[in-house]
Amino acid sequence: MHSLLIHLFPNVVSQWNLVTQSFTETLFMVGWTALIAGIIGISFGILLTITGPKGILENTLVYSVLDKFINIIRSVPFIILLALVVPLTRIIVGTSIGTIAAIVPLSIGVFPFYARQVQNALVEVDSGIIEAAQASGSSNFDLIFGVYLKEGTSELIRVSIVTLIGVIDFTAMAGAIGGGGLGNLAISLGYDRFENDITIAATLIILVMVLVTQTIGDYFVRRTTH
Amino acid sequence: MIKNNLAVNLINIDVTFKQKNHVIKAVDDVTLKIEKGDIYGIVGYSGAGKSTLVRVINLLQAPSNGSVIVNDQNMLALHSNQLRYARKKIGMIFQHFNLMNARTVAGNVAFPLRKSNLTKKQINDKVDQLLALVGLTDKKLTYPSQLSGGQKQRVAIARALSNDPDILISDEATSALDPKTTKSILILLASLNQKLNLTIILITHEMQAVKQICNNAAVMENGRIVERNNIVNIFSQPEVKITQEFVATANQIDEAIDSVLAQPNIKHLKTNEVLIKLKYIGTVTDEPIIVGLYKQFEVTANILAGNVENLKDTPVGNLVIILSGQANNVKHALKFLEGLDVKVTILKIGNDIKSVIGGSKR
Ligand SMILES: Nc1ncnc2c1ncn2[C@@H]1O[C@H](COP(=O)(O)OP(=O)(O)O)[C@@H](O)[C@H]1O
Ligand SMILES: [Mg+2]
Repeated sequence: MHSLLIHLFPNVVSQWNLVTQSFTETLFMVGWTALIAGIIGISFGILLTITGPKGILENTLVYSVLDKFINIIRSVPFIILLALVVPLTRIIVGTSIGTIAAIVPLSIGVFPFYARQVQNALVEVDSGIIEAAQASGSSNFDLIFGVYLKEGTSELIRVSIVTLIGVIDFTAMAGAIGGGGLGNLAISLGYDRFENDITIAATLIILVMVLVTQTIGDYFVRRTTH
Repeated sequence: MIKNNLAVNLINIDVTFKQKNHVIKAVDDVTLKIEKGDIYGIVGYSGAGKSTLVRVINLLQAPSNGSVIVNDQNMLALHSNQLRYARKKIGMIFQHFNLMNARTVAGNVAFPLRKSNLTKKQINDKVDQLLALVGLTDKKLTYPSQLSGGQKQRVAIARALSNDPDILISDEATSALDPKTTKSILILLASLNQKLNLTIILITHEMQAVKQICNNAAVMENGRIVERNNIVNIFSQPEVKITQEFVATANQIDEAIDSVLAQPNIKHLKTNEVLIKLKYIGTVTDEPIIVGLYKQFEVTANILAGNVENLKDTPVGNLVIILSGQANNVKHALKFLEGLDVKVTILKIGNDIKSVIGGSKR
């Protein structure tokens, strides 16, 4: 078994520490991006929903500003965004290279996508349910946290999984500009040094991460659908 | 402010919706006064403005014009917190129930009690009490998706009552239910009206529902109230065409007449016979009309169809009968009936009788 591994993945075995380190870096970037882009994205998603057409705080001006803002950031290809935000990253992190630095463009690239997903999930909530809650004297706070988010939970989990898988994808790309992680590993060793087994191993690890995310997500979607 | 007996007092309400290139006047100068403890029906076809009008009561819809007084409170003068409190005293139920799918029955009923100063235990007791009131105690921990339409509406009613409102607005609450379930929900509403002295505003397009529980009703068309009256008058003497149409929908006698007219012996009515419909309100019912006709005029009356309904304890009867006898006697019999405050409609008339009565009757 061990000899088979050495035969199939010689470079992986010999540089095992590098592989586990890259995996940790990827987890680190995915985790922080998910947290930061998650919080910003869900806030924007809620704002878009409540200020949007038929929202509980409908406001055409605010909505169109938010809407355009999100659209503009989303229209920038991520690989370009990586380069574009370098000055900002320097200001925030102090450097533009490394895993921590990569979290800045990752968060900026992911949150508009997530905001839109959240908006799509929340506008699905039946307006009749909102109206019934309003008629019973609920505050806007109760409507957002007690009705929108509660009723939208399973749909929110679903779009969060879609986004998280997107984050894993983006992290691999961030590796291209020296962000570290499995993407970086695949490029610097697999591609540049023709160590193909490293590329394959990185791919397999990412595949497993996606599958695990999807499976856990599906479980919670089922749990929250009544 | 002068205290009066009105639960709802809408004065000169307009609601206009501005669309891109035109303006919709959904409610057009409506004044509506509903007394405390009443069950008040609002009837009209789809698009008449019923929902828009009742949504003005709790200001889910702000009027473009007019004043909104609910329980002697000027709703338009309230701050948002006061308005939320006022809304808690106006329950509302809907055609599609609008229950939260992610919450259990108990969770739905308890939701309006959030932020009240009740303890968890008090809320739980209140939920139990409300579920008992609507007959759903055993469904407490069920999710709405597992309930039938009628059960969902009962949950919605319990939720609407959670803050002990004085008024319940029912917007087509039975329109998605089958006739039997509709009836049971209406019975529940009527009992709540009695038990809790709840003022109920019943929006519907089903005249049968109005007939079953309302005391008063208004008929809406194109954003206006075109007729309003107590139930007995609405059903016995509808004035406007649309009211007559609605009343006819809840009136089985018209269907009966259609089948009577199709019978062979009616198609070939004898020359000394006349087919009439009698409609009478109140105590006339108690007098033995048919017997009287024979005794006084030697006119036999053959009953083909009939029914008696109680509208708020006032009997309203319909009879379809054939009178036969000597032409002159029949003429006198008809006069006699009209003298009794019975509304006589001649449906079909034999030639002998026609010649005696002349062209005076249709
Ligand atoms: N929010 C709205 N925006 C524009 N038009 C509306 C709105 N709500 C209702 N309307 C219009 O107002 C009229 C009355 O609607 P509604 O009150 O729902 O009637 P009903 O409840 O009697 O069926 C309809 O023509 C409807 O299209
Ligand atoms: Mg309606």
